[in-house]
Amino acid sequence: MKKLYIKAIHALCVTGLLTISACNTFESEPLDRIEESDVINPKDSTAVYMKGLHNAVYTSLPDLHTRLNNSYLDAATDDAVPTREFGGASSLENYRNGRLSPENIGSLDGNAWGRFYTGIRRANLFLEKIEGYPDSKELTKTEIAHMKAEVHFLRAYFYFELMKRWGGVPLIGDKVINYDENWDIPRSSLSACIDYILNEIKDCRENLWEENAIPDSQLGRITKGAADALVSRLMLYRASDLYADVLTDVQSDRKAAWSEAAAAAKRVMDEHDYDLLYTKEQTADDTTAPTPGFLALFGENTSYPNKEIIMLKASTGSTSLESSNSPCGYQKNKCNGYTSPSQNLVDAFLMKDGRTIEEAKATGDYDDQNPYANRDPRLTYTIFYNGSMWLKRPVETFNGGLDRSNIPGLFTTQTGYYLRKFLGLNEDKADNSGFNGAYHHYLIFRYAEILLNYAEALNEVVLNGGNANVNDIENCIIQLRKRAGIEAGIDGRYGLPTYQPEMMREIIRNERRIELAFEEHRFWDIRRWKIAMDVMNEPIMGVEIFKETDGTFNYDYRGIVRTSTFTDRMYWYPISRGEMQGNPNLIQNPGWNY
Amino acid sequence: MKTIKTEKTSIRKRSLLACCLLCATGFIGAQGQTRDVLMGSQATEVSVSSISTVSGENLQHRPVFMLESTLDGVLPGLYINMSQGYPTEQKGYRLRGETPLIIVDGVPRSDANIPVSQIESISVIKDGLGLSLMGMSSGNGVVYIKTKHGSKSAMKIDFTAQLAFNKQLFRPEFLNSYNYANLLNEALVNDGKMPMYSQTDLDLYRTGASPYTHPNVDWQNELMRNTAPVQQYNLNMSGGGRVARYFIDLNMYNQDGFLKQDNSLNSYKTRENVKKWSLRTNTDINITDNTLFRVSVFGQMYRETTPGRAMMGSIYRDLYTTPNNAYPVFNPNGSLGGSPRYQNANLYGQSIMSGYNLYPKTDFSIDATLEHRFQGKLKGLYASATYSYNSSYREALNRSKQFEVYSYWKDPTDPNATEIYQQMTAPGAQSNSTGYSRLNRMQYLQALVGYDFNWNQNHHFRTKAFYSYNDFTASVKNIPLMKHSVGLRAEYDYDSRYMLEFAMSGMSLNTMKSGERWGAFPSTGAGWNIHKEDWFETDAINALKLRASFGINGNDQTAAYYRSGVGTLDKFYYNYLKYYGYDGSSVWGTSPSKNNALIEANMPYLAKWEKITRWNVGLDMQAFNHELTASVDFFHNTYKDVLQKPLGKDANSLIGMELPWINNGKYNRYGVEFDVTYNKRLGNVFLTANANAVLYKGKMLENGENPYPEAYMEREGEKLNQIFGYVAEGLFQSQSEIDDYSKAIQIEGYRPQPGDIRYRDLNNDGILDGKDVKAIGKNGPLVEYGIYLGAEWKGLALSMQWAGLGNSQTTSKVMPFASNAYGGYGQALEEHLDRWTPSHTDAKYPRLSAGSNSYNERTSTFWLENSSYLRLKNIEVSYTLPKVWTKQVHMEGVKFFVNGYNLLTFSGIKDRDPELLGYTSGNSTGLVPNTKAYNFGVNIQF
Repeated sequence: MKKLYIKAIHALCVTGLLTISACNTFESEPLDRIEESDVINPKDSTAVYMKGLHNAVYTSLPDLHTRLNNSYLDAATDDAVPTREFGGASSLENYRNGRLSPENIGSLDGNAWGRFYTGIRRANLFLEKIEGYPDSKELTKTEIAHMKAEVHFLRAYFYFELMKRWGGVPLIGDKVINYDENWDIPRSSLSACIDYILNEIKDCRENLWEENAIPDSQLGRITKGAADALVSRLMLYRASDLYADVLTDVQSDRKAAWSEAAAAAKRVMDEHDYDLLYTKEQTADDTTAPTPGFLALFGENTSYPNKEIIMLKASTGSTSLESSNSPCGYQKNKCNGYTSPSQNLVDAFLMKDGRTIEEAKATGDYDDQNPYANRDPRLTYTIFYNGSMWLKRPVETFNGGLDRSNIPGLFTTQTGYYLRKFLGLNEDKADNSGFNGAYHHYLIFRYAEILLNYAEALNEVVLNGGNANVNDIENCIIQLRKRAGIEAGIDGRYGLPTYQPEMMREIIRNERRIELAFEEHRFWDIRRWKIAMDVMNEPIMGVEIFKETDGTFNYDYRGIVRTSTFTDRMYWYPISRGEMQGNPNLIQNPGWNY
Repeated sequence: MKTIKTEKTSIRKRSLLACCLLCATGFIGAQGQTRDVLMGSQATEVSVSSISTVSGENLQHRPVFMLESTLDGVLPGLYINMSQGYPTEQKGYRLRGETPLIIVDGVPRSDANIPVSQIESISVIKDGLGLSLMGMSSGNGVVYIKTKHGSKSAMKIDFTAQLAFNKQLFRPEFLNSYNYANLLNEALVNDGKMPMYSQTDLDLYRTGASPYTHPNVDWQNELMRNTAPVQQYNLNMSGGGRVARYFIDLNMYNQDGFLKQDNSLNSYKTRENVKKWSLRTNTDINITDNTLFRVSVFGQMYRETTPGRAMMGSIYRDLYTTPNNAYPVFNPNGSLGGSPRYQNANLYGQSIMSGYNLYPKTDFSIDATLEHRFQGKLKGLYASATYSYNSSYREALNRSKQFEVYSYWKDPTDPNATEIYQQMTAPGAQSNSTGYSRLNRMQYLQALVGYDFNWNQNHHFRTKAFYSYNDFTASVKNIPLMKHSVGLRAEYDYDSRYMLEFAMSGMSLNTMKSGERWGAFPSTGAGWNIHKEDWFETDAINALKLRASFGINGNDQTAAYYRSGVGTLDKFYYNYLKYYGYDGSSVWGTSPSKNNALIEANMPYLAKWEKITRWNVGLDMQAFNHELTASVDFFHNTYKDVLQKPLGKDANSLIGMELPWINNGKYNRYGVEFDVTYNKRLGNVFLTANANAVLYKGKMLENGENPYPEAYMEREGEKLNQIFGYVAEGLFQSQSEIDDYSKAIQIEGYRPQPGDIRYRDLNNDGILDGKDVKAIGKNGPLVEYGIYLGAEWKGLALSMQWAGLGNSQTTSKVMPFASNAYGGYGQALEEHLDRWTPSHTDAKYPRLSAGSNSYNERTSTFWLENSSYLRLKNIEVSYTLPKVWTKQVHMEGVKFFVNGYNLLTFSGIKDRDPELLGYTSGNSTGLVPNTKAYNFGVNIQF
């Protein structure tokens, strides 16, 4: 009996020991994670975590393609409508149908508020961790200086993105906030935000990369040119009507504001070696004509890098955009054609000689039953219309055509058009053999915009009673038209009429609309010009095309695709209800409720 | 011990009557009866905890896969949430409102799906004292499962065979193509868009003249059969002698699914199916007269098969969201139909031609206990040691293949038109890959010492102290959860008349910060057996006990975590350490390449266990010659330091990252529980009735919310899980009504049209916006109840088990045309025909919208429905052949039975299952309907 007890005790002890030894099988705290001490470890010769923190700030840059239910922000303007639309809080139609509200703004536009404040935190985090971090072979002093300057720039850029949506927003400063602190930060004024951005850029500019010094493998990082371009856009916005309503200093001296905007654009032009991407000269060896510059800029990988791109969010390239945006009939009806550009936009494109279609109508040079002939080549590069070539066959957007078929259940174009811009070069590729993809970089700043900024600012100086060299204004437009492939005309003015400031304003605005279409400019431009009340309350038109038995087409322009509502309060976004409830110190934008 | 066993044997013989006696809460047992509590058993008479028990016999004969599906309405306080009908999907346990920890034979287990035939009893432990010894895992209550053991007797063999026929409950009824196209056109026009279908299309849908271009496919009819069988076989043997006793149970379960299959196409089965084999051997060996060694070995294997495409959830999703006109099953040339939107979706292909998946799962556990009772001078002292090892592994073997799909078009208006076939998806070879979807291990070790002694005859003391260790690994990647626990319990009673009990445990969890890991969880209770008093002389009342307990429990959320057995216990897993992770990348370079981005993975926070204070006062009574047993319990639980993201701060995203879960929430839950059983013998007729119910309600006390603009918007102080929404005043019936409304009230972000919901401007500020949201749900307590009725006459028995939910409300709704996973307009139901139109103004649904209409879909009183229900969970008729007959063929007993599962439902919701409420969960999963079944069986005992 006793033996048994002893044995039992032995058994217990052994089990106990086994258990205790089992405890040591694992580390006492997980070592598989990247901990604070790893990140700030000064002995890490690769500095890989520090670089990772730096990369993270870049990821908060906005996306362009397919970011909004597969469509573009411009599909919330008079330029286009989304082809498929199922309603709901994230529907782009909310910008148009009067349903924009503090309730759904958080689901619209990619939750911009949250996205950019996340970016700002990541920027602050990097700046906090890099402080005192030793330099090494992998991370030289210059490199650290570059990285810090880039992060300062990016943070400023994020504020700019917030500012153009909401006006003055809360400024966080350099703090990385912890959960046990108070972050009910009130909004700063619009002018304080602008000052903050400008100051930040002023401080960091010196340490940013020179465009030509940036190594090939790092292309895409922020340069001095990007800083100057941001200032240019910011100063242009600042001088515009919408901002002048809020900024008293601008209001009191519009001319000065526009002059500053012009100077900011001029600085980009003068201090940097940017230029438009022109079509390559055809050499004797070339069997085919080179891709037109405008088309190559977005769709030809061999044209990258180039002098036109000032700042971009790069992408590794794919063909998904091609299948998303190609007209529905391609690749066995599997393409989606997610965006339907409007007749309004198509009509904004010029004739090949630079005149508007209105002007051409007057002389009988525009035939609305043959509407795409002799047009600005950018129309073809931007929009698929009936008869455009794609994958070796003409696009058929006539009723019952391959790309606007009667098969029930297919979502085809709402307007008679599809979006061509940004796609790779597939005109001559066989259907059903896959697509030629492209990088699909998001060109956040490109030189064409700077030219337009300059022309606009300078012209507004004139309109506000100042003086400017008319040639400087016209030259910008002429450069763009020339690159686009518009004919110079016998006067060499590329269709420009004799200078007249009022008319020039419309020309510049129109040029901006077509040159920068779908690059997220129109949405903001109609707001800052305060013309959204007019243009957004116009109906969005489409075209119905009927194929006659003799093979000709009959174009009917009477179709209203959408009617829109735009009210005064919509010039600025509402702050989302959640944020209002989360931060009692926030004040809602005028006209918006809880 | 032995007396107890004989008691139990006799219980099994007098099954019906006695089992129901066991239902009673604080049942005042006869002398010597015990009940299971944590760390051993307790004499029922002197127990002061709130524990209810049901015998395993009572749960028999249900054609269900999961154990919990048998527990509906059976135990007071325990509700089973049957919100997913797929057999292998876990159903939710809800014990007084929380998800309990599952303990089997004293050991916490993961995924304890044990065959009912192996279960002696199931108890629920609900009060602070009873739960105290589970330390920081005690917060949500315990479901305690006890398996059967053999007793000293000749070998008994028990064999049961059952065959059930399952049918799905509340299959949705969808619109035919004509109605669908018509309604979608109506919806599009309502939304100011172009109609999608031309008159020609509509005519073709109506006439069905062109079934390939204008199909009308009733997918459920096409793919599903109406009845599916479930077979169950069970064989168990038990018995033994003085030295060793055994219980061996072999169980086999085979449930076939509802999908049709085509044996000519495949050499294997494609239909969803689940089989289970289970073997348990429980052995008790007396090494000496006072030394008992118990070994339990349990092994269980599942073989679950599904069609190759995916888990059934996505097939059901497509079944419920694909319009009848989406594509034909087959094209004229016999190929599978499809369309550019449904390139790879053909449901016939998905269910029959996509190969198959096999999910074998193996559960294994072995438990060993050595127990010794000292004699002589040390009499009353006992010690035991337990070790348990559990392992579960679920493999996923993928043998799926891609089927070929063509779209077909031929202009139906032109007889000479050419047929166009376009390949949407190319066929693919069968893949062959394996992986695992569940892998966990648990070890448990326990050492216990107890000493029971009496002083002066009337003073009885029972004490015990224990140490336990438990580790759990839910995936191979993480450090296991390791828990150390020490505890003691001291009981005292005076003459079984006055009882006093104290229990306390300390527990630590390794994933919390060193030095902050230990928590102490004290509790106490007292009781008074009033009927033992000399002055108590009421003949009608046989026993009367008053008891009260109080305890401080902890919740480290392991209950739900052990149960699901996947992922990480994320809210407690070393989250006091700051760490970083890679997420996304930036792209640079002339040939662009990705650079990984490092981000903060968390804000460090030392999460501690939540603290729950439980009060429980109960009264147990037996009366009228023990014919009536009744208990009532009042409970009040306060949950403090609840982990949450404070509502206010969490909504402010200026901080730029997710907040940690912080211990600063607070709510309570209180209620009353009844359990009444009545047994009556009238000559040869035995009658039994039991009713049990819990009525409870909670209150949100602290959730970290910021002040709201209107007082009625505040969640704090409101009922827990209160529904907040707009107050609807019906539908706008005309433009003039809208114009009148708009004179006074401007609707933020919407321009209503006739047929839209009209909401009330609660604060009269002239704007209808988020400030007009208030508590709209009922304030009354939720009622969860069950009713059991039984009668027995000369071998013929009838029994019924009902389960119900009262005072329950929902705003769940199924909207037409919701965008489906294929980027198109989804399906619509027959009930959507009852929508507002100018000629049908008294409608169930507002005017139609194509896709989502966030205005009409707001949570509001318009959608508020009574989701209470009462369901006949089980009804059984059985006949036991007279012993005189069976003895002739050397059988102990032969019983035939027929029962029905879920045969009747009474509910406030007409077209949907009140336990399930929807058809899909988001855009990813379809909810498989619950089933009803007719079950036939025979039970033979040797």
